Amino acid sequence: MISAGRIYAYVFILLTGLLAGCSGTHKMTAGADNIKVAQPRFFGPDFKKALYKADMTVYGHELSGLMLFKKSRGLVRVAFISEFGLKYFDLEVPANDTAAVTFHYLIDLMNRKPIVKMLKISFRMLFLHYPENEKNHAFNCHDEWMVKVFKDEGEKAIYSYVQNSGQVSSARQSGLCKPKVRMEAGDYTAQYPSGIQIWLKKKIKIDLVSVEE
Amino acid sequence: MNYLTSKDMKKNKIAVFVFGIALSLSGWAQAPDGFSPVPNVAFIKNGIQRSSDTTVSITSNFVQEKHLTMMDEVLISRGKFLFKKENHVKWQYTSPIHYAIVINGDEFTINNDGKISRFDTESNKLFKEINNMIVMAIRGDFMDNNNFSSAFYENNTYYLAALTPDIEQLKNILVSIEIYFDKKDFGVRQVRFIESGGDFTLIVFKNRKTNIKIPDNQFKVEHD
Repeated sequence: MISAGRIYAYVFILLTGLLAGCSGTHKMTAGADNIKVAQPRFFGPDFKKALYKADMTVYGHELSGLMLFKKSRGLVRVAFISEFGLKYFDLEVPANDTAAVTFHYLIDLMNRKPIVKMLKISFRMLFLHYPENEKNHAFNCHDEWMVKVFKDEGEKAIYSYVQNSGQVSSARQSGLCKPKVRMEAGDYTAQYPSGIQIWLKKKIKIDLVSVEE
Repeated sequence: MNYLTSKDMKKNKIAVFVFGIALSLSGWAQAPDGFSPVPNVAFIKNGIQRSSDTTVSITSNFVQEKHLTMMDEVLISRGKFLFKKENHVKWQYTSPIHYAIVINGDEFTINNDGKISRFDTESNKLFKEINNMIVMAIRGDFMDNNNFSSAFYENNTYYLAALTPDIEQLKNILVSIEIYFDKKDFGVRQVRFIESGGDFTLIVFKNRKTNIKIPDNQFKVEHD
């Protein structure tokens, strides 16, 4: 019996293949009719800081609190703290696209190899922390929609985004049969989405809703 | 920290370790800025104990400042705190998010923006320890607590009890807890939870009232 997840993966691969038939190119700077094509992004180039109400489910354990994203000198620091102020984790997405995401702190409760790995992958994806190389390619799809694929070190991340703004609506990193990470974002302000949802292997879920300080 | 011992964590661990040692040595060797050691510790202990014994309820507004030193950020939350003996506690956060947590004995209930969850503190040891620390700090009844070593200081306004955890489980969470007691009535006015690495949470109580009647239904969690 084929699982729903596997069917979903096949459909996604099929759709990606169809999208590839739209109009593929390795380096797109302009779409049809010289419309400017932006690079995909969740957080805009002038983004400085964002605060989200965060709900996270980790292997059935529910954690909640605030998640702060702050950009400084090109790097992004992310801290997740409980309502009481207890810090769950504090990580850094480096300015250098080839440097790995690093944890400065991780609460013992979450300090497990698969959790660390999945969190690193998801925050890498969230900030599109991939080096530009010839394996990356973009597809101009219907109307204003684009798809861009990043490939690096065996990972393949696929982003669906708006052509002129670069605002990502969904992203996924797929394995051979089942997706590792899936993200959705929407309701963009000028520099970041008001809502972000991240699913990691059905083991971890992160739900972010922006709040005013 | 079993799985973060690779390159990316090594330097940080050393830095945190050195900083932790420096912090604990400095705390042990000298009084916090603006404070001096208390000459008569017994007087303060008696005052705190008396205040704790005679306090049956507390209502207060609070401002919680989370200082993230490496990010150069302070996150400010506000809300209302209720306490009723023996172990009924309610934290009602109103800004920047709506969130309430109610502790009734060994059971705690959370209202997370309308989503209500109930837990047993025994099922969440970490939360239990945190709750015990907070309640202990608010009530000021840490005299017989063997989980902490205490030192006492004062300035013109406050007596300061600096508590250092002695058991491993608490050491993993906090470096120390500072409880600030008003010199006039030994009531708790501020609590500071200091983490390794220098981050800390400061809770300041405002418009604090004691021993007023709090109906039991205040400790029930309902949809907003």
